[in-house]
Amino acid sequence: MTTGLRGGTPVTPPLGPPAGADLLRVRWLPGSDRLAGTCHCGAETVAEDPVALWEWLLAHPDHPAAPS
Amino acid sequence: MRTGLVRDQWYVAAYADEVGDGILARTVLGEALVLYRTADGTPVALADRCVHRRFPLSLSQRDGDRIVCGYHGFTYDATGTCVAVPGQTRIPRTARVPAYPVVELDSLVWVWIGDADRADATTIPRAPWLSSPGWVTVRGMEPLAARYELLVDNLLDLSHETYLHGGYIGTPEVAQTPITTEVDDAAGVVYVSRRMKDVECPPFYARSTGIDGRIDRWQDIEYHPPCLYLLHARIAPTGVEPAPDGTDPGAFHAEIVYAITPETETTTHDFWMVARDFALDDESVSEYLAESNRTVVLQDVTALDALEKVIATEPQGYQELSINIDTGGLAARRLLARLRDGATAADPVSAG
Repeated sequence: MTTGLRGGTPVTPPLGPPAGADLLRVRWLPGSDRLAGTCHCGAETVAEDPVALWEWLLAHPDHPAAPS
Repeated sequence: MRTGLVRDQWYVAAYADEVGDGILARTVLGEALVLYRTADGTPVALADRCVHRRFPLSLSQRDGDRIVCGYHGFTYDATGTCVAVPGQTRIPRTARVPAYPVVELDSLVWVWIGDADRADATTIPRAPWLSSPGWVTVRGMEPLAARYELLVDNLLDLSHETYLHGGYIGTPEVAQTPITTEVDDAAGVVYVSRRMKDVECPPFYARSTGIDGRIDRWQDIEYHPPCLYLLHARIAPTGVEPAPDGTDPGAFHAEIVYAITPETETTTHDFWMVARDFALDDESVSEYLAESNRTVVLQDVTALDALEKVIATEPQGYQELSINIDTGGLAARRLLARLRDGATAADPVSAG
């Protein structure tokens, strides 16, 4: 939630997805070149290639053991 | 690079203030339209071609809420129905030009391109700050001689700011800061977040906010394929955090909005807007932001126009290379492919 400097704005742009949404999430792990992927089912993995990581996430519910 | 237009979608055809008493010609997804506003203020979009001998209605004249073809006088009402033809009383049953569903929302005029029976105005993504009290917006539109997918790629990966927009919005930290990418598959929205702490303030924000020193800079992207891109930008003196109640009185907020509207398969209308919640009455800030942002947009236009030429001459099957910064762009490509193919199942990510 944000409001302006002028004592509050009628419209407050949201930051990020709405609460409760089923999300596929990829976090770039700080200090590394690795990406951490989390499926909306809770499955997690780590990869170095975003293409392979998306393919892993989109394989839900049949996530391979590790990104190809 | 795979290309393809996505039909059965809402697209921004114009800014609301472009549509008025005159006749505005604009092509969206290869369909030539005329846009105008009736006396009661309702925006109208009709096909820009007289049913008789193809004369562009955009080269014709208004007669109240009607358009009179400038060639032979076929006269159309706001529904596209021909209500008069020259020299005879019988109007052929087929004398009609297509009328497009139109919605005016948040200072934007959206048109539905596709099967009109599928048009649902409640699915139009919103940017209410563009027409909300407490915000001031500067805006423009630049023609892009490049496919819309290149602009999507460009906007989903803001690390390019460091290299293409140095001296305006780019600083070294943008490219160096890791991002988090999230996809709401059910809603079909991509989110990319980059939070920079204790970083250099680029001139774009230093001059417009008056901040003299280092900043915390947040970039929170929402992409609603195919047309609407929102960048929620938060700029604050470093260490200034939002209050526990969620208010954020110590920060400056800029809403960077793009409407990415394909004109043809390889040309795009690049609508850009910058809304701010600070210096609302300061015209010099408006002028500076408008000029600076247009400069930034034109830097992108030059780059993307060059990319389109490269793509036009590249061999079939050319394979791009994607790295971490492309995570959001790849997600956007998949959602676009899903819309394009009308698929509901997950599609594989295309790197090419």
